[in-house]
Amino acid sequence: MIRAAVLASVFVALTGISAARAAEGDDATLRKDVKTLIEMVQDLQRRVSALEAHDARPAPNATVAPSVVPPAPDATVAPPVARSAPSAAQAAPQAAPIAAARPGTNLDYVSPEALLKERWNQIDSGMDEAAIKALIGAASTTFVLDGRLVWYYYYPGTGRGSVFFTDAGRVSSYQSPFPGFGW
Amino acid sequence: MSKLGWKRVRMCACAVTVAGALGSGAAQAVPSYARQTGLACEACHTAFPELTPYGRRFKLNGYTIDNLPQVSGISPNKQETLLLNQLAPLSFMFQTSYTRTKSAMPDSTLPGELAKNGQVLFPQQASLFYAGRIAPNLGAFVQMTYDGTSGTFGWDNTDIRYARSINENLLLGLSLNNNPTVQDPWNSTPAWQTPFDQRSSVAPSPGAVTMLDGGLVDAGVAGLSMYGYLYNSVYAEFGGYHSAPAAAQLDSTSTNVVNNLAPYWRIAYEHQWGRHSWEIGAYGVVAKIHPGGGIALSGPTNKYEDWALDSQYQYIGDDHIVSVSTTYIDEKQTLDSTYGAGASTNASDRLKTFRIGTSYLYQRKYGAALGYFRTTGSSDALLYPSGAPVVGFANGSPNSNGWTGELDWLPYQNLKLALQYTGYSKFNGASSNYDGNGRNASDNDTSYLLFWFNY
Repeated sequence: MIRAAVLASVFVALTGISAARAAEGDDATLRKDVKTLIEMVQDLQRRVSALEAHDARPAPNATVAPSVVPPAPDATVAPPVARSAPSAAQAAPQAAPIAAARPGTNLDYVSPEALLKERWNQIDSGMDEAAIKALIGAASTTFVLDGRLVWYYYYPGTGRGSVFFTDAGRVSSYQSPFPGFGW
Repeated sequence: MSKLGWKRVRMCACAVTVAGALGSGAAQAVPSYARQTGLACEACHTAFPELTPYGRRFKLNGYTIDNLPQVSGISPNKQETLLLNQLAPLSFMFQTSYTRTKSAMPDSTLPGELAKNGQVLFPQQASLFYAGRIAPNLGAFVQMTYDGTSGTFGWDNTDIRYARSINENLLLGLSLNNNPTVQDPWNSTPAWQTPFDQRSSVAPSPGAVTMLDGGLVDAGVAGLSMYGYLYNSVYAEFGGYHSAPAAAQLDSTSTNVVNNLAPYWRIAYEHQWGRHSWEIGAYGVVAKIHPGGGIALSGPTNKYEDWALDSQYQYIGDDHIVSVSTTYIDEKQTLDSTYGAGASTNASDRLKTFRIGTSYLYQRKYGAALGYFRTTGSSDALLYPSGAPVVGFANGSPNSNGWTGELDWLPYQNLKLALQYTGYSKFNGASSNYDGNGRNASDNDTSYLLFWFNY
C-alpha cells in the first residue's frame, strides 16, 4: 500500500510538471526537471525500502512478490518443518529476487543488493525465527539437516544463503548469499 | 559467537579436511564449499575438520549438492541455470605453530651439543585449495601446500570425484585420489583422523608406521576407486593404487615403489538416529612393494597386507558435541625383497596400530580432547636398528605408546587455536634409553601450540 501511494504521487507530479514545461518549449529546463524527478523517484524508492525493512509487523494483505521457489510440495524438496514453515500471510517482507541495481545520480542511493546484504549482516546468533523473517523475509525452502532446521535462500543471479536454527528456534549460524573476497 | 564475529567470518569453512597421514598430518579447511552451497559451516562440520553426517553425504555426492534432495530443484525451473561457479572455488589455509619437547633434541651435527628447544614454524603450512564443483556431479578437493618444515611448495591431498544417484536409495561414485583413505567420509580412518588431526611436524614421532597409516602416501601413489552408498547407511568401495612419486623415472634410486596395483577396499555401516550417529567399518590394502634405494625394481617384492577396523560415534547437539573415533590396523609384512637383501632379520613381520580418541565441543567454540595410541610389532633388529640419536630403536622393537590431550578455542568458525600435549610411555621400543644414546621416551613429550585459519 505504501509503495502504491508513493508511486501514484510521483506519477501525478511527473505528469503535471512535464506538461507545463513542454508548453513552454524549454527543452533544457525540461531535461533538468526530468533529472530532478528521477532523483526524486530514486529517493522515494530508497525511503520505501527503508520503511519496509523496518516494519517488522506481518502485513496480512501485503502485496509481496512471489517466492523464488513456489511453496508447492515437490518430490525433490524436503517438506517444510511444521513448526517453522512460513505461511503466505507471514511471508512479508519476502525474500524475493532482488531488482537489478541502477546507479543513480543521487549519491544517497542504495541498491537493493546493498540493502539485502546489510540485512543479512544484521543476523546474529540467538535471533528467533520471527526476527529472521522480518529481516530477510521468508526462505525459498526449509528443510532439516541432521535434525537441525535450515532456512535456505536462493537469489537468482546473486547466490544462496542459509540460516541454521537450534531446537529452541534460535539462530545457530548462517551463511550469507553474498560471498566474495573481502568484506 | 558475537555478531561482529559472525560478520567477520561469514566465509567460514564448510568442507574441512585433514591429511593426517601426510607426515606430520596436513590438515585443511575449505570455505569455498560454503560459498558454493550457501550452507553454513555447521551443515558439514562439527568443528573443522570433522564431518557431520550431512558433510559425509556432501563429500560422497562429489562435493556438490546437485544430487542432495534437500536443495535440488531449488531454482524455479528445477535445474541449475548456471553450471559454473560465480567465483572460482578457491580457499586458503594458514597454520603457524610453536613446539617444545620435554628435553632438547641433540644438535644435528655437533656431537654432545643440544639444539635450541622451542621452535616456531611460520608457517607450519600454508595451502591453496581448489575445492568445489567442477561440473554437475563432478567435484574436487585439490590442495597445494607450502611446508614450513621442508621449505618446499608442492602437491598435497587430492580427491577428484564423480557421483550420481541411481535412485533415491543408491549413490554411486568414482574417486581419483593420491592418499589411501583421503576419500573416506569418516574421521576414524588415517587420512582425516580426529581428534588430533594436527600434530607437530618438528617433534619426534614413533618410527614404525603401517602402509595404511602413511606408508603408501609417503611413497607417492595415485589411485582410482569406485564406491556405492546404499540407504544412507551401507558404504562399499573398491579400487587400486599405483606408484606416482614425483620423479623423472622409476628406477633403483626410487624407494617403496608399488608393483602394479595395490588393491584397496572399504566397507562401512552407519546408523543415524536423532542427533546421534554411529559407524563401524573395515578397510584394507594389499601392496607389493619394491623397496628400491639401490635395489633393482625387479625380482622379489615385499608384500604388505593391511586390514583395519574402525568406528566413529557422534552426538551433535545445539550446545554439546561429543565424538569418539577409533581404528585398529594389523599389517602382515612378507619381506622377500628386504630379507633377501639382508636388510631385515625376519622373513616376515607384524605391525599393529591402535588409536582411540574422544572430543567434546561446547557451542562449537570451546573444545577438549583426549586420546590414546599404541604401536606394537615383531622385533627385527635390522628393520628397526638402534644407535641413531632420537630416531633409533631399542631391542629392534617398533613398540610405542602414549596419550594426547588437547584444548581448542574456535573464536570464529574458520579459526582455531589448539594447545596440545603428547606424552610417551614407550618410544621406539623402550621407556628409557631407547635410542642407545641416553634419550628416554618421556624426553619426547611434546607441547604444541597451533594457530590455524582458513579463508
